[in-house]
Amino acid sequence: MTEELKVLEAQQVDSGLIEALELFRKKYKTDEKVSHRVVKPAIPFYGREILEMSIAALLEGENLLLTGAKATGKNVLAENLAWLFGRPSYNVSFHVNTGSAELIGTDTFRDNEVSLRKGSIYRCAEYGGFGILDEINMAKNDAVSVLHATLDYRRSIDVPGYDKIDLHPAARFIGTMNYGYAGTKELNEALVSRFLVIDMPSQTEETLSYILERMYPNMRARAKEQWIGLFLDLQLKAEHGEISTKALDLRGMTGAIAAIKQGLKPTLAARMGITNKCFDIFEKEIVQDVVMTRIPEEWTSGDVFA
Amino acid sequence: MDEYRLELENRIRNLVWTISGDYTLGIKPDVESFLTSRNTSIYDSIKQGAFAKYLDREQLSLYLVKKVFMQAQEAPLLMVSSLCIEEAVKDRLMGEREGIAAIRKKACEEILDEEFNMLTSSNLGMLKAACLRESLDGHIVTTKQNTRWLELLHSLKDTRDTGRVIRVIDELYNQVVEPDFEKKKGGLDKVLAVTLEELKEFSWKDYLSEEMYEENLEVYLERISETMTTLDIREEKEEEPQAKNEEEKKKKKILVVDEEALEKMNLYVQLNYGKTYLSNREEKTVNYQMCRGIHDECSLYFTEGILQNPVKKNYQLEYAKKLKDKNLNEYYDNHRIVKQNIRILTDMLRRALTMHDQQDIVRTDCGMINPSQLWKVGRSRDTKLFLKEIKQDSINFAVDVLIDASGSQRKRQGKVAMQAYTISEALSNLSISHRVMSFCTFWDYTILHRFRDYEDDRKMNGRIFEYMTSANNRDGLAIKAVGAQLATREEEHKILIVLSDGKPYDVVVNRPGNKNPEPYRGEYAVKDTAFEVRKLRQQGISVLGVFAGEEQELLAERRIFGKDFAYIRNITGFSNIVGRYLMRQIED
Repeated sequence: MTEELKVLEAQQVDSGLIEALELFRKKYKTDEKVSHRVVKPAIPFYGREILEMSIAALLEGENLLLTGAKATGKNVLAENLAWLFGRPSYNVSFHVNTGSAELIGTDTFRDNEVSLRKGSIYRCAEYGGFGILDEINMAKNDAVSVLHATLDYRRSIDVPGYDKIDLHPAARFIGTMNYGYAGTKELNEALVSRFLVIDMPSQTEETLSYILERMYPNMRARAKEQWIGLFLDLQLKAEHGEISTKALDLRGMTGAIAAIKQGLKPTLAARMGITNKCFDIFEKEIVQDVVMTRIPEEWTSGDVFA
Repeated sequence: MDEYRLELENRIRNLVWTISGDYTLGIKPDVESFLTSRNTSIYDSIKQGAFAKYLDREQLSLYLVKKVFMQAQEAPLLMVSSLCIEEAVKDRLMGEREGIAAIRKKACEEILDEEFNMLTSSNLGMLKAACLRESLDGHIVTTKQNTRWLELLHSLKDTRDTGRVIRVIDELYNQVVEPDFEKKKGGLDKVLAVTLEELKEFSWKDYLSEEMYEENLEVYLERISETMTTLDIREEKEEEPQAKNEEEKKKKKILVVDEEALEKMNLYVQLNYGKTYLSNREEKTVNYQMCRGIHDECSLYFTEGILQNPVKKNYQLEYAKKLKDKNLNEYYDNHRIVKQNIRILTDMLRRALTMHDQQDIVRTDCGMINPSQLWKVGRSRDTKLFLKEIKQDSINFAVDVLIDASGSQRKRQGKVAMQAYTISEALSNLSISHRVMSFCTFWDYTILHRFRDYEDDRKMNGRIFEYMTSANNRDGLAIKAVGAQLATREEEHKILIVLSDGKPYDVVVNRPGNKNPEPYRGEYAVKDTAFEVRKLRQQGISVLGVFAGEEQELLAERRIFGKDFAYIRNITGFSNIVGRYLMRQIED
């Protein structure tokens, strides 16, 4: 069994699903040209139920939409799935200026000739990749309309002036979205109907412990407990609307811990990775108060790492 | 509003919530002590959170109240209980949160620095000083007696048994503060035997003016005293005359129909709701146009409220002031959530507006030539070799917010005011013209209270807290009147947001000569309101119903507003729902 699938086994994912996944991997080999796009994610995703749901859906040829608040691991899951399925991944981050040109392609001059420069969705379709459509609800209508035929049963892309290309049978799309973000809008029903939706649960002590364990195996248990507690405290605060989700930043926290590993004082690291993410001065103080109860001023790098 | 103090209160409250993990915990933050002795105050908040988490807050508070009732000295009693509570929670707390030891140390140093002289002047002070010393450097030099008391205190270490904490507090108090307490007034059993009825009869007035004591007790005392004597009951009593009056009026109504009585009625409305801002003629015109059919014999009364245009200084004016303070207090308590909501709503709307302002460039077969497409000439059938700029329609909005101010909203008064304030502030942030009004129906008069007008300065948003509830609600008429005014606005898009409980209710008692004796309630009223809403929609006004009522009324609300209806269980989700609706209106 490959390293990827062992991670699933360790989490007691249904053995039938693991077998089916193995068959999938054997059936679809990755093209040499894009093998560099099969990337091992920085941290494995932890959560048996979510993994089972998403693997089953993807095996059936469905596309996935991951919804949930900030720091629930939407992108980590998407990256993990591409890695588990052994597929090259193509990340498209949607913003107001993502249009059909970026997704499908645009004309360009090459060797004195006008030719098509393929967009990420085009390449994903060609090589059977996993297209990760990040913040899909930030997409403008122009970009979304391109995706319709790609995501439904037609599984094809019609490039005006070129050809109609069919999707590689291993190609899948995983959209992520955060409902509450300022500026995001509701997805239209036509688009949502092309996905199976997973509502990502908030972080728990167990998942955070797993993540930190994996990322920093030599972290002291005492310190780990405090950092996890800190994150959960902030998560609860954000859920109750007392602070925004700015400080609730798992990447920021793991970044801070990494800085401590380099020898930085824990309170300073927490300030960089967590407190300073808030721009509102009063919110900063509330966050600082929580940090203060968890991370002692006198702690040094040695208190966190053995 | 003193923003800084509000933020500080919020900070202290958050600290308690962080530790206790219970965000429903009611706390009255002591900003003064935070400003003077910061570390002590921070540690006190932490201790309070831990107290709520590990021990039974109510049981202990109740004991303290009973002990005070038995004439124990309040301040020393609270000092003893504070020491005992700390002993019970501190180790567990420090084990759980590593940062707390340092905070505690700072607090102990601060107290010893500031209060040393005061502490050494009494037995209890000495005991406290010994405790502080012990936690700072681990050893104590003190009297034999003090050592015995300290041992008693230490016996509480890590206990989760509130009963035991109570026993030790009682014992310590009886030994340290009033050695003859037990003999004179009785032991713990006697204290605990005090009943709630006895407590209710006791006057707590003297104790409430004190600000020295622990937060939890203050809250508890306040709560008891509130339910026992002050606010609620007083309010009910105060409301009675009005209700009675109304009843009387209704009875009279059947008998008296003359002009004089009508005149009196108008005066009564003026006294209760303030002078109108319409001229006599305007009032007549609007009544003539609006009060027809089902609303025949009704009148509309436009006012800016009793606080803005009072007729004279009367009981109603005082009552309105009190209600405004109550609304404001609720706002202070939820200040941060409201602020967050305003920010979220503003961001959502701003984003939608910017997206709408964007210009799209599309490929067409005519327009500006597009060099990148020219290679297709002769090679492809695609003729779209040009670009065309498509501008979106310019958007300008007028929004009306109409709030149900009938008596049934009394329970939610503060919350409804906050919701309206949130919308108003967000719209002000984006300079969208909007008006906020409330409505209620008193006898024949449907009173429309205007808090701010379309072009008013944002300072006027604060007036929304003058929102007060009373009497009935004739939703159909109010919606009709407000909608008709909104329709005359020159803005292209018009939106009416109605915050109501889906329960139109206005019982007109039959008068001789009344053409329309049917009481306005139930099916009849729902249908009429729904009809007015549909009529406005036909005129191109978007109407959103925001439900602020009891769950069993949901169905009626749905029937009135159809698909554009939002039910918000919790104020935190408010801006998202209203924001999404407004965004849809902007985007469509």
